Amino acid sequence: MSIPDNGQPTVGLFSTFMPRELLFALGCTPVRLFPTAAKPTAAEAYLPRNFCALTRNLLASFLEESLPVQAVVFTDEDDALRRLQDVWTECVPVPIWGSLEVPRTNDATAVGHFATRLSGLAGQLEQHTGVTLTARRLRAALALYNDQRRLLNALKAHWLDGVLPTPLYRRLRRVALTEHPQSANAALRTQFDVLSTSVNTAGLVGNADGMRMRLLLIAELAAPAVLVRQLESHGARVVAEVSDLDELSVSDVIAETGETVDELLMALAAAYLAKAPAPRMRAPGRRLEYLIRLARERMVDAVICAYSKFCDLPLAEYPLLKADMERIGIPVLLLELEDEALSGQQRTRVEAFLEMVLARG
Amino acid sequence: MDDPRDIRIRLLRGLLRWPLGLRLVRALLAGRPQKPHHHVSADFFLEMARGAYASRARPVVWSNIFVPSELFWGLEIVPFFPETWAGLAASMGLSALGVSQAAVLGYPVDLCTVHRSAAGLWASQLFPRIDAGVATSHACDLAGQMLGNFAYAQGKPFFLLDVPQSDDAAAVDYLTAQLERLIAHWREVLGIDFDPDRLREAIRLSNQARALALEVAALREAEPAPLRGSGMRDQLAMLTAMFGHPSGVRYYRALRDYTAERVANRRPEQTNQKVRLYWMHLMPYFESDLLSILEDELGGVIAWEEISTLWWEELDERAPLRSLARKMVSLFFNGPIQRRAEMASRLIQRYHCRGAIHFSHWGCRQSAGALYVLRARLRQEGVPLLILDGDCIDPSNLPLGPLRTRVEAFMEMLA
Repeated sequence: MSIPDNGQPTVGLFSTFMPRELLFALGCTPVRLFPTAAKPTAAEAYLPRNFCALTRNLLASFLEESLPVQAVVFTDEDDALRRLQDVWTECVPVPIWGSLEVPRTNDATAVGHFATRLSGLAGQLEQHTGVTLTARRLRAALALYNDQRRLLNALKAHWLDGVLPTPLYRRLRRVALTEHPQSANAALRTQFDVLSTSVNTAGLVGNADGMRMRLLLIAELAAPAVLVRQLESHGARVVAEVSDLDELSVSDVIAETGETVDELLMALAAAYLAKAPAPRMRAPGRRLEYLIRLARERMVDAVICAYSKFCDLPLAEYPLLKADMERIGIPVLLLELEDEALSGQQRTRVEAFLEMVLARG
Repeated sequence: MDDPRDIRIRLLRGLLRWPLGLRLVRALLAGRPQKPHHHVSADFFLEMARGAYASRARPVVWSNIFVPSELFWGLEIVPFFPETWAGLAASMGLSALGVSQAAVLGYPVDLCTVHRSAAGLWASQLFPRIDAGVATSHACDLAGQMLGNFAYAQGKPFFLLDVPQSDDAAAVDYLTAQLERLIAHWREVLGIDFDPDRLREAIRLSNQARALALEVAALREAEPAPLRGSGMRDQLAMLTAMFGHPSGVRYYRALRDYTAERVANRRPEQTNQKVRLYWMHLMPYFESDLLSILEDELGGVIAWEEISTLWWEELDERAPLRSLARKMVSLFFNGPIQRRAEMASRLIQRYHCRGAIHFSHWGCRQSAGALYVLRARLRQEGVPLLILDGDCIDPSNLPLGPLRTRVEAFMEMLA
């Protein structure tokens, strides 16, 4: 994470349900926090060892080094994040500027309630930044992040066409989540222009890897880069990643037409609650329907769930996911990960799984 | 007995579903010497089981334990609580079956054994039919997910009550609106009638039981402690199932009278009383020597258990749904850990406890996750906290030797 010094406080986020537009409109640079610690050991003084590994790794990252954020804002994403917020003030010298309750349903009542909570969060942040939320500022922020969504959607199309390599595509998505939105958008636009030029001059590569095994990855924050490398080096092709890094981010453009702050907050609330369902919504029917539809649309051959160890919600969903996917002929592998690395045993399991999928034809 | 084809499991399945089976069990239990309140609770749960397993008269809704029971009784729905029944199954020695069958379904071993065991018991066909599922989102992530799973796997509708972490007016409004929608949903999918007077009656019964439960709580301040703490391990089931039902009033009246008699005649259930303690979270539901070592050998007195704490204000029958919404958001497991810590401080003072023990049930992240904060808070107040890692469902995950050593050292330090 390297944030340009533009005078705006950098505020760390833990969830894709947190509208970055709101923070940006209030004079902050919102960045999604990714763990930097190699192991979660440092966090074990504060959180139990059988606690969500991703959460422990995030805490360990702050305990081991001084990350370039001036504050954080929490959401009540799940039990792990709630408890992290509880211990945060005891052990991390980075202040909490606010916390946001995010509904777990997406009906009209929930949208209205979420908009109320967003307004409350704005009030908390105004006290720290000295910036007052106005419709003009919020519209400008919406426009900036909508630009980012358009660029990311265009880059995703290139990635799915096989023009943009997976590691680069994933790196760009991470840039979008962790850098100042203006500089991130500039980087995305540059890459898009390069690709457009090369496609125009060299002709579309098309789905040159049409014969490769097509994989759907499911993770919380992001599948580990080493896993993606291993998969693609064994001839497989990742064609969808359902994680905060990609499919669980808000990808549809959000209406910028609201006249007032309240109208714009309602638009934000509706868009963030309507995004692809995450396990925290506890709507297995909607979530599995979405995953199966995605698997079919992308013509997936197999699914790999790369979950953090002790991360309850996705792990508890797994038996249903496995049963439903296998019912339509798609095998599923579960990896429970302590950190970004893969153990030798896990690598072997991945290899065996890929061989098994290949053998099935 | 971890094979669902085992003859004893088959017999149990048959007994549960045979209309006379649970009546037979009830008759057998009635003849056994029991405390008066235990007769009431046994009758209540057997009747509930009969309604769920052996009768089709009323719809059966599977629920987590924090959906207010007044709602079920006020709407004449039979609730079925998989978590409670997992605890009951553990007390009957069935947890190995539950846990092993959950593994067959694909549930990872790191998940809470209460929920895993429930999944395995369901897979072993030891649970009743389901007409719909409901769960709250608060206190425990897994409960909502598992209830959703059960409903999805059986093709039944599921409703999530999204409980906000805060307890302000906006949170109560939001939850009240959801309760209204839940009733409309049940009317549609279960075909039930909604009689507001019946719900008000459930609220009245709940308030009566609440007043009696508060009397029990006051009586338990006495020294020596009248009741044995380990005997109160079932209180969470009572607090979450009985309120709103006439049995709730009968149960707490019987418990109040029983406790009052023990106090008046200085006849404590536990004779060896040395150090008063506050017990946090759950206790093993199966037979274990852990609590008898603490109580009988070492003289530890569990003067109050966190899960026996009646957390809600009196309900208002003029605004029943709003009252129930307030009851849900005010749960001490909801919201920041400070809420739970403040309650612990108050109860430790009230019951004159010199120490606290937290039983960290395997896989319960919400409870064990902020122990660092709880311990620091209690330490500031001069109250040491012992953390015991164990399992309230699976005996194989409760290593008695190391736990005994830790309990002995803690009691020596307090003495």
